[in-house]
Amino acid sequence: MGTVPKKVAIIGGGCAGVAAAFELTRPERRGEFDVTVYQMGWRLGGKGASGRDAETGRIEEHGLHLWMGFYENAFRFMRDCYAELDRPEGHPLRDWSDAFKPDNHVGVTEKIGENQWLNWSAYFPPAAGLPGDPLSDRNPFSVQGYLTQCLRLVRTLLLSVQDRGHEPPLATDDSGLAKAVTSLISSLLSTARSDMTGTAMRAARYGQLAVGALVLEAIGALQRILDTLRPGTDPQGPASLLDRLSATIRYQFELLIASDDEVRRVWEIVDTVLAIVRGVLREGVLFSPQGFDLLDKYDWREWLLSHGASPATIDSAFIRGSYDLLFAFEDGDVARPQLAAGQALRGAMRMFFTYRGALFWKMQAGMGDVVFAPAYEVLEKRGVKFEFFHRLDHVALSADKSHVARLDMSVQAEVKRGADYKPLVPIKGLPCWPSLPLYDQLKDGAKLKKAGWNPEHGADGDRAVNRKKLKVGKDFDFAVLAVGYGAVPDLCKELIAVDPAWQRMTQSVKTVATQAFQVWMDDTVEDLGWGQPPINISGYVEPFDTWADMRQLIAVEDWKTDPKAIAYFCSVLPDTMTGKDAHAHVRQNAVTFLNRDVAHFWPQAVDEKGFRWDLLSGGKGKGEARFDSQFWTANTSPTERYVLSLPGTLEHRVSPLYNRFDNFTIAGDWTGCGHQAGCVEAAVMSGLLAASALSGAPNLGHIVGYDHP
Amino acid sequence: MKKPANTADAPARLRRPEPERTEPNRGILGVFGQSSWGAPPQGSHPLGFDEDTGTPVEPTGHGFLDDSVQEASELVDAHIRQGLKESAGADESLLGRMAALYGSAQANDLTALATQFTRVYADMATQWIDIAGSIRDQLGNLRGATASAPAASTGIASPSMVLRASKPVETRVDMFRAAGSLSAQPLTSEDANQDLRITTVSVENGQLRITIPADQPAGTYHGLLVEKGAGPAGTVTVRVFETSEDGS
Repeated sequence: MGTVPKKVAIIGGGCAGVAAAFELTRPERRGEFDVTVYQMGWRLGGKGASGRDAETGRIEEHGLHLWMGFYENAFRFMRDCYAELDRPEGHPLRDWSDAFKPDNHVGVTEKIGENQWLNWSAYFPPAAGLPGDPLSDRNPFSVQGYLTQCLRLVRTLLLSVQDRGHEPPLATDDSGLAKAVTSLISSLLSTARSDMTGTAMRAARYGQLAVGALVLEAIGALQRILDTLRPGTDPQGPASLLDRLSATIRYQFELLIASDDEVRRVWEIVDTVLAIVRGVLREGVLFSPQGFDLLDKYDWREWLLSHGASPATIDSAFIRGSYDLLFAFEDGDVARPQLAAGQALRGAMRMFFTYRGALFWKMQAGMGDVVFAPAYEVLEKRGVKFEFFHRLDHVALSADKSHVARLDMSVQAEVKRGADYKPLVPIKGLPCWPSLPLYDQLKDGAKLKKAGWNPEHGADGDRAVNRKKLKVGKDFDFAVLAVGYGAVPDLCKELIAVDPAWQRMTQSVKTVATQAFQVWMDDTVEDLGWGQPPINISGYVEPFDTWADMRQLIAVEDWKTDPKAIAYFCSVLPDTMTGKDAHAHVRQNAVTFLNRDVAHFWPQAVDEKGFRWDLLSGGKGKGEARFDSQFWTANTSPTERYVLSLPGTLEHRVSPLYNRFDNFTIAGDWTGCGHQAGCVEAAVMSGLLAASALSGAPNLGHIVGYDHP
Repeated sequence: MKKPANTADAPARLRRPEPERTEPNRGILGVFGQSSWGAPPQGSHPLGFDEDTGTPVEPTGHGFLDDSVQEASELVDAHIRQGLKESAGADESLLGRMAALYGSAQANDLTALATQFTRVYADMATQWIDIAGSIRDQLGNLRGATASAPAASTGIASPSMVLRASKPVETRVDMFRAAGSLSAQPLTSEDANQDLRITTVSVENGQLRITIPADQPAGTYHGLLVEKGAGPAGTVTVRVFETSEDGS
């Protein structure tokens, strides 16, 4: 190229940092950037890091990671990465399609009485295309398009059980998505249809529901019109009449709903969707320059309620599941669900109406193995340097506060003989990250190994054998801060002191701790009483509201005798439990859950004494002590905490494009990246934005969904 | 004494390029989809490098769309009024019928009335969405019209025009379809920060009449031509130029 490469220091090797590095070093750039990734500890991944146990090769995650079918940017990143990696035939994860498999089943658990829960699973049929494919001519991201989809969904829901001879034809083309929605509804109603003897009665009930649901809408519309058309008349008369009529019909519904679970589920969806349509129209989202952001000042459930959703609907499994999915509980308190309505709506619309291939995609190994090992290999091949065991302590500004002048770092450990740290280990032919540092490569490695030193946690993380001060112009030209948000306020005190935007962000954005545990068992979940397909199910009781069946991982782990089931559970962790005993708290939560709550999923796993601890693979000893062989984690350190999408806060997130400090940008799912939720897609989008901020590419219009309304 | 740094020898510190923008375009184009990424050529790559970095599509003004939607809303209202008239029957007011039903509601009667309302509502929703879609499609045409290259004529007859202006202007009329009985909406600036509209625009005797006020800021202005009872039928675009010092 002939010019001196621009030096970029990327601090943090999670999804955002790695995506930024990937973009900045694309071969098309011909070496324009000389990138170094500084990573605390021994592995890339951040909140997505996973490790392999040295003895069993089992996968240990920070929590449950599911990729959604609308993660267009994240899948494009992975597809490009695997294509460039060009693994040989026979490699266990040769291609991205080996690494991610579609998962069409999703479930929620609903409470139907005191200590009584019901599982509701739905099959979402495959949608056209694959995530990361080039976009087709039809633009799926428009409010108008979403309203059309919503109304079509309502119409499909309400008419699908009525006399089909009177069903009006769809006004628009019979697109793949329309077919998918129709199939979805069919699957939701499959129980009713399979019960031939009750079909007529059920159809009649649905018919009433259909008419009733729409008449409520019609009444609302009529009321507004009447108010407009008859300004001179006494508004109390007609308003009162309509209110009473509406109340009468709703009362009839509630009687109907109380008698039939199927009707209730359909009603909950209809009620939710109608509230969305009403709310979007009433609040002027269609013509707001803010798009769905306009609604971010409201809580999702409160917003639905204010637009006519019934209290029962907003407490439905479907809505509660959306909070579980985003750990949306302020301070980890499950009594305080808080989720910005605009982002919730954007996420729901994208999740249900724009997925490609499958609603969910499941990784076929640990996230570290599937995402970060391939990324590491590609980036290393491109010449990206990795400095492991480097912890950022402070971001220092220049005297005139215009740019970042220095990055102060602690070196947590040094590699013997000054060599490069080689971080990956092969497990069944797959390059993987270990669950602890490869001590043998480190100075004082034997001592560190004996102590079980873990540089990602607590006092161990504070270890410093050396200090470095990276200086602008010498060690870096540009810096990308890509650490978890929890660490940002402490690292960026100088930036916060001089810039109001940073002050607003750090005063409003909050994070939450999470907890997770994994069990390996010697019986299948079917043997234990689970009667539905392998599932990801949320909305269940705390302390662990979400369960994912991870049996697909058995093949890639390396047990002497394979377990027959792998299950992951996760949830928020209340801030009251995030102290030094957090790890013990999570263990106790897991034990309590297995003893008390897991029987709902696996009735045969519990006997009169509680959980059958002998089911656990690899356990030693007897009784509850066998749980100690399993894996659990309290994600409480600042960089591990999950960023919340709280109402009234998203507008304060600073964008990677923000140029107050002219050699510096940020990346992470906590930034103003267009999709303001804690997820892989947001992190990758922010990485692309950071790359764009430093180089002008990728074009913002090519970051899928950045300009989403 | 500390020596001053020899800045002459120090290489210039690198700075980030100024971003084209720092926030998403969620606005009016978001409602109908962004053309900048919505339709890449077959097989194109949505991320990374693009041979043609291109010129970003500038947002079109909001005001005229708001007006057009108001127009659509009025159509919907008219539609609903018609539906109400039909459902309420020839000799019975809607409120009277509701009151009667509420007083002695029979389930069948209520269902019958509800069914009628349902149809009205479904029709309303369909019509509303269709209108919105129509505007979306025309917005795409309009973006084409604002390009510097001469746009192809739609081949549909436009109204003749009488233009009064004390400064240089360019005008353009694009008809979506043939239409009679037109009215014109005020012309709104493409610049969302510029709220001084051109209100002296009308259609009289089939003639589009536009008067550009002397103090009208330079810029591009758009408005809709609306066929009475049928909705948007075309657009008017006026580009106002600054007058040079010598008045030319």
